[in-house]
Amino acid sequence: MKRKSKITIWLLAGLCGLLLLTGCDSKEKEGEKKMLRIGVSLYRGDDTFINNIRGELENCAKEYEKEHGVKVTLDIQDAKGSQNTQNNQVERFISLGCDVLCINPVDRTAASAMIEKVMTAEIPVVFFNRQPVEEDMDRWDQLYYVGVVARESAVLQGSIVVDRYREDPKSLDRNGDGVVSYVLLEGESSHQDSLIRTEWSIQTLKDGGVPIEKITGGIANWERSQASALMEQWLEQYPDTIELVVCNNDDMALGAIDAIERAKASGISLVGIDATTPGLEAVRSGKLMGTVSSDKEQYAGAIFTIAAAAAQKEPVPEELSLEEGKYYWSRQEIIVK
Amino acid sequence: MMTRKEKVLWILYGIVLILLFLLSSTNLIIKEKETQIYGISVIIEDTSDDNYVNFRKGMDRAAMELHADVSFITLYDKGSRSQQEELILREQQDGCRALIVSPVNAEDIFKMQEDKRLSVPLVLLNSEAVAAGDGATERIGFDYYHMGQELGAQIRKEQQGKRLYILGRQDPDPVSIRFQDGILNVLEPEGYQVLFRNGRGGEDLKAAVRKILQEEKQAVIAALDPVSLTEAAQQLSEMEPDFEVGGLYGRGTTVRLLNYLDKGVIQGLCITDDFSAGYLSVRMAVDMVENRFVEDHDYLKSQCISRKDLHDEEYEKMLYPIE
Repeated sequence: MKRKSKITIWLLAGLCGLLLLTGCDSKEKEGEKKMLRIGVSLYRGDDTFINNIRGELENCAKEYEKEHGVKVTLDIQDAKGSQNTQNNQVERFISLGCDVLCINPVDRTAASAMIEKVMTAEIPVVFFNRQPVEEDMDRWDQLYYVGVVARESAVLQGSIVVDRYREDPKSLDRNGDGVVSYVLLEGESSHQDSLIRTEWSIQTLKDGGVPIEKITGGIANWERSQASALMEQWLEQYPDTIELVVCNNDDMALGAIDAIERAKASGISLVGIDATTPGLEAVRSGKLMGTVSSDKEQYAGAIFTIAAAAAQKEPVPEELSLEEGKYYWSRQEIIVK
Repeated sequence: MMTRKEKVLWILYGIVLILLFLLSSTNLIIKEKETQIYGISVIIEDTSDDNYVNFRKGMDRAAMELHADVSFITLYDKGSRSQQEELILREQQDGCRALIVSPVNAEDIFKMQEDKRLSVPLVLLNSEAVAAGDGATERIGFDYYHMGQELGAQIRKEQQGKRLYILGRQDPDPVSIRFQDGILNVLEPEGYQVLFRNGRGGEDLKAAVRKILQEEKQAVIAALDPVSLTEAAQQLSEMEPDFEVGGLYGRGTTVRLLNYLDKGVIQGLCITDDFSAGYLSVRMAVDMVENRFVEDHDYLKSQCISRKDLHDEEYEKMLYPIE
């Protein structure tokens, strides 16, 4: 009897201890975290569009701090175009105890290694701008993606040219030969948006009835300097021939403008995508015919809102309608002078 | 059948293997040095880090090398003394081991030290104020007065006229005031007429530039801070060619400003070695936390350059540091 009661006492004590422990645990889980640490890894910090998004993310963090009284630490790192560096950054974020990660992947096809690590550490991730492949995105329900619909950007870009042509064909067909001769500056071949932007932009021109003829095209990897070098070369090869430059982003359009200014060429119209700060300046000054804005405030706002909700283990607010529960597409609009 | 000697050899071999395992894979014999990670908070006086890009690169490098966990914090409103004070107290309360602060007003921070509200080691950026209390404080930064003098000398050398427009923001920060004093120290004794124009921000500053050019063609403008200089350069690059400026001068190291210098919109630019400032400030903070000797760095390197110097190897290293 004595032995039996001893066992009962020990069992009860154990049960109380267990209850106490689980009680503490659940209390912590229920309450809102008073401090959020968000690790942000950018594929390249010198990309103007990405840099704009980074600035907006910082603003969102400040707003959230003021609104919720929760301290937000944004740990922003530049992967400088190296997937290996980005993998190391993700490891560092995990070891520093980040609550959630926002990753702009260097190589969208190589996200699985990062996903493996975050799944083990149980840290949610919001990918943005470069969409990981579907198989990777489907591996865990705590993976999200924020971006724009590439086809929409391209159609809007194409319609800038179509509208201008309908208004005044001579403003594009400067030599009056009845054809608009264009060159094409494309982004990285591995980026999902490059091909789509190119294809649909040109398709929109054709559908809109703009008679076009491609002179040449090249990959400038989204970079201003590379675009500038290509454009310089084309201006020498095809003097007084190029009438339109279709660019997959604003940085490349600005690079082409640099080359045009250096060569003192005139009568060339350019269109870009992204509406970066220098891109908008160029539109205002008339150097760029138009660009497509992806509403960076809303874009960054979506990244931050999803990240904060995931870190707090709360559902994503309903006003952000997520496709398949994980994809958010930011809206876009045309910007012309 | 194994001989006794063979048995001993096998046992010895086993012992050696066990020892090697313990040495290489466990902490039992050779104790691994525990890496101490120090939380360091950097609080600046601005709302964005646009003018701290190279500083952050240096800071990140030091953080990796010295095992520091550095948080970079900006204010909600530029130049808000109360917000900076709140953030300093918040970071201290949250357990940061040292603070690096670009002060809105250094006196406020010294007051906090005197009142014993601030007790963690402190590194002040670009402040010439001297601590009155007994709090652990170090300073690092640039000699903006001397920088202003250098720019004044460059203007005197390059410009024919004797009139200078000084463009700045309303409520200029202490750094801009020191920079302005340096310019005036060189130009006023030479009989220059100095006219002051200011604006609250973006559009206001641009309007001020337009007004200057309406008042005087070929005006010479010196901007006191990177924001004013960027706005002025942007305005000039957007204007018609007949609104030509005599010369635009200022300070800053942002890529946009360097592009404007390269395009010839800006004639003279004072640049600073921000990467070193970032790196050394974190190193000083770590040294202070570890109670080690803190090396004194007087003033860090700065230089006034023109377009032709932009691709000089020495300045390229300063402006585009390899991370």
